[in-house]
Amino acid sequence: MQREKDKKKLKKGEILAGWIVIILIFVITVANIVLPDRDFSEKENRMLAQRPELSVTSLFDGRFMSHSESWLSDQFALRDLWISVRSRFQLLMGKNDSNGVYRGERGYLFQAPSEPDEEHLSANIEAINALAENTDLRIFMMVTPTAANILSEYLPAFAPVTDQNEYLTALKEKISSNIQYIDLYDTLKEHESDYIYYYTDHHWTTKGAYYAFLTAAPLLGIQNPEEISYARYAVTDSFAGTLASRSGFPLKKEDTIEIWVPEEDAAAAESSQEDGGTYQPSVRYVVDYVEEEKKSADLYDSEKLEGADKYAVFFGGNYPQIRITTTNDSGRGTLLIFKDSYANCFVPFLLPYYDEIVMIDPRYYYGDISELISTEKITNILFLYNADTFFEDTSLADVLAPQSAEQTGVQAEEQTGE
Amino acid sequence: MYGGPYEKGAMKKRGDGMKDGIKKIRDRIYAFTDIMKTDILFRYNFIKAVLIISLIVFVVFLLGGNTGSSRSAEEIAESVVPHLMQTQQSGTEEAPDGQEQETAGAAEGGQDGQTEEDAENGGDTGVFDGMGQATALDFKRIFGLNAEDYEGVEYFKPISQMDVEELLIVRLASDDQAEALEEAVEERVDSQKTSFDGYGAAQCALLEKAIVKTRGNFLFYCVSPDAEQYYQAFLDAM
Amino acid sequence: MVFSSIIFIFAFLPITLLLYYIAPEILKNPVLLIFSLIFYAWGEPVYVVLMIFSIIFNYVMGLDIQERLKIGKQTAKRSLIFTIVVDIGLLGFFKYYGFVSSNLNAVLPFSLPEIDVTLPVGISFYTFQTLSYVIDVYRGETKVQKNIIAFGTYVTMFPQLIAGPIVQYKDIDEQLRNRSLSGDQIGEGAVQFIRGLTKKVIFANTIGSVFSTLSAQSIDEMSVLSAWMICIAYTFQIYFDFGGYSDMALGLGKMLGFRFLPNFDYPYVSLSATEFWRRWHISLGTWFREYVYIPLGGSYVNPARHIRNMFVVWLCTGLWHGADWNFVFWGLYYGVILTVEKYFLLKYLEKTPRIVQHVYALLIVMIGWVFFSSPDLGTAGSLLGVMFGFGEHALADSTGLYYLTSNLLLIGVMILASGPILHRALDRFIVLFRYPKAAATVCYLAMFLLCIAFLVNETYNPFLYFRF
Repeated sequence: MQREKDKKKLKKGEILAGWIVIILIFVITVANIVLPDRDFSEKENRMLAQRPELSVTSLFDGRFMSHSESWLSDQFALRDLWISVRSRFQLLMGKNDSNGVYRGERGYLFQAPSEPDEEHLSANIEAINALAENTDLRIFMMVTPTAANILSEYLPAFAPVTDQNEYLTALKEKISSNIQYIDLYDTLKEHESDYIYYYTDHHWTTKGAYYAFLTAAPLLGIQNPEEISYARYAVTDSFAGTLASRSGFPLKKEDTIEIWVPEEDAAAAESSQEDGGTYQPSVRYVVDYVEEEKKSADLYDSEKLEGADKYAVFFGGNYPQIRITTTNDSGRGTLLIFKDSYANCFVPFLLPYYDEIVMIDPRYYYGDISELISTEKITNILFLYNADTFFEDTSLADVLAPQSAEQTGVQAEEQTGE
Repeated sequence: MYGGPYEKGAMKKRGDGMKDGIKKIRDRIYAFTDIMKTDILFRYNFIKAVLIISLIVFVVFLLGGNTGSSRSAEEIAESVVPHLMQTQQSGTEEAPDGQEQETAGAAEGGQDGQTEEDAENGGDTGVFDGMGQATALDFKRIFGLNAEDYEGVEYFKPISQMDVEELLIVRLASDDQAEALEEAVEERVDSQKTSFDGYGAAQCALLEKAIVKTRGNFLFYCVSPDAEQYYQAFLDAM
Repeated sequence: MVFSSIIFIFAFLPITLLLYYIAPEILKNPVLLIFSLIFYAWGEPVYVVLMIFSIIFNYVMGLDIQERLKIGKQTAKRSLIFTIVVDIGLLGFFKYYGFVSSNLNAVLPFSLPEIDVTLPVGISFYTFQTLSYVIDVYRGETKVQKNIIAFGTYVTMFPQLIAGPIVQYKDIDEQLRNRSLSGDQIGEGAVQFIRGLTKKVIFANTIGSVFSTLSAQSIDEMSVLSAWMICIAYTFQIYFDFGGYSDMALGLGKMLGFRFLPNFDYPYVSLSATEFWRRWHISLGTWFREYVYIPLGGSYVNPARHIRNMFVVWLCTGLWHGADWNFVFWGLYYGVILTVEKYFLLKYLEKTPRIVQHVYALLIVMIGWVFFSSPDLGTAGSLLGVMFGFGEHALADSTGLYYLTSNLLLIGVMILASGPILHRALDRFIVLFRYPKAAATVCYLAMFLLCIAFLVNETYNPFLYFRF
């Protein structure tokens, strides 16, 4: 008898639940209509879809429908809250990955290393080797292992991560002997318990870059890299990087970004502040954003610290071409760097040792490299990438190609067809 | 009762010819509706026929809706983005520096000075889109395909390297080129998305709304805040 | 439009329900019809015309057949055959032209023209519904529907339009004319909707993404564990996907005052393949039995004829699911197994312990899913090869282990949810609380909120039975 009564109560409970849900649906629908649309999501680091325009073609096409659905989804009330509920639930169920990001121990988030795109990788290597064959300039290559490789013991259990070292070794073997390869694995592995990679971002920290610099320096021809000691300034301790936004995982740790300034400059700056005067920095430089036609006296863009992507404090982010001219008389001439964003916190360490540094990001650069090399009187070339970006890159070969094509006399053919 | 001037035959005048015609049609219609009302089976058979014919028309229309156009890629591009097409002779006299700079600079690169020139020529060249006409070399570099393989290629690429606004209209030489070309375009969109992922939220948002459509012997690809309008203009121009 | 989407739950449904509830009785069908057309047109802005044609055509033919029956059976039969030819012709053209023509091209001396048509969503479902109507009118098993609005409502009703269950006209005739809407039924429907939504969004979508990630591996490098994970993942995905969707359909039906027949009855507790097909996609099995199997004579003929009947039904069942050889194979696979069971195996099977029967049934079903889910027979064969230890494959690798451990809890819950156990245990558990009413409310509310959380950031929301 009790069972019967219980079943009835259960049934009533279900019906009540059903009605509450129906009312909830109405409430949320009204909330969605009433609340204003947002432009940008800090948490996801992307623009949010706006109300779509209605047109006959987009209606028959189905595009209006799919845009409407994105709009509704993106502008859903309390969206960020729902996303974090989902991530927490999934973590609870034992799922330690989301969108290609693994959540490891100690609060580390890891970018799953990519499998190289063989076609593009071979094309890139070919172009790099061709460049090495056809020029007398000194060429260096530094492809950095990423956190998933060096800090592999913090990955979640059984995480199926591709062996990045296998590909790096293969790369070392395939590049021309004219190129000086800088292997960072040992150095970084040595310092693995240090804070050399960010917890929530796929970049290395300034400290990690510094250790790399110490290893690279002798190979670059820099005698005593340790002679300059650095003062470290934490410019933010609430950095939540790309991996945090891509994965949607609740934040366990926030990152600190440091800017390393030569000790003597730091001291000089402090004392000049007290005196109220100015000081002479050890290296005087100008940063020229060629494409954007603006110049800066600072390597750092502190405005970026107010946004989500705080790593962009280094040079303000990625630009097609950045030229740093100094008053140095180093004897090493001008360095040309083909890079991704890993270089941004590395380059300040190179600053005292070159007269001029030109940074090219092949993803956004469409100029003529050979012209650039002669105009800027380049003496050294450095390829500075992190392994993930390098193995996925599809732009290098194209950017380098005209250079190699010209050298082999295919130029005339290429120029026709306008 | 009968007879006299009101007799049918006697009243026949010349204008009655048309009246008779209309009357005949009206009679036919009445006869038809009568049958429809009384003979149920006839009614249904008639409706069946109408439905089947409509169906066939619909299916034919559906299948035929994908025909292309006999116009050239250049003509269609003229209708879609007239302000971006290189003007040949005219215009150079009016503003020698501006126009010449534009045509010269519209070739490979679109580098410094381009943006300023275009802004100055806002009045001459029309709306400043952020796109400039590109060359076959650009097409090859970006899509990995040869422009000579197609009957016509009109490609406008972003002027600034940090921009993603672009437009491509291709007239295919044969139908089997469609798949490879679409794939190349999709790859371009994907690699752009990767390049700007995490850095360029506005660019990524535009890329999400990219339009890639094949219509018969034409392919249309556009990333732009005005992509819908361009697509509509493209369809109208076909 | 899909039920498990933000646009459906938070735009379409509230508007439709509001207007439907406030509409007076006579306007309820028209409101439902209009919104169902909008629902369909949202996903198929062009093919909605085709469905409207189907409605008008079958409506007229129903009247026509009825009229002809008064004259004689022969003339009515001719009309019926005409209707069937047109209905199936349409289905056949849009769904099977590509498959048939590419296979014919391989043997014919000339090439059939390549026609590029996409499959209209739900055509397999609504075609079978209209066919059930005209055949039942011919057989005199139902009154003809003179009201085109009511008929249109039957065909397009959005709860069952896209993915079933296949509702036979005679089961719903009465409800079209006269249905009651009680607060209890609405609440019941909403709760069933939530159960279905949870199955689809939390279970099916999650394990489905495991399936596609693991399937992307190359067969050569796959471990045995990964291969089994793929099979297990799909087995769960398709059940919770389709079963969940049917739950939602039934729930929505209740909220509109309709009671449909259940489409799934815990199929994975079956002890034989025969039992499985009495619990899986019940409305399809019923349809084939009613309109193909029994007219052919069913099992009341000599064994040779009977086997032929089975063969026909299972060939059709396989083909209905998709225009490809692996579906044909899958259908015939069951045809053979069911025949063997009926004539031979079941007698022995029933004498073995339950657990043996259960394992047997599950193996048959899971192997069947491998064929169903593979793009072609070769891939299916390779995967089965890995699963059963052929070739050089590691027993387990990090990929397999990772996905197993990441989803262990989920798989555990899904196993429980595949049988009535979870539901009963849940009920028992809720009843333990002092206030079972409140506990039930909290439980279902939590499920609903969790589903919203999953849906808001939906990057992966496939529906397997969608393109049918």
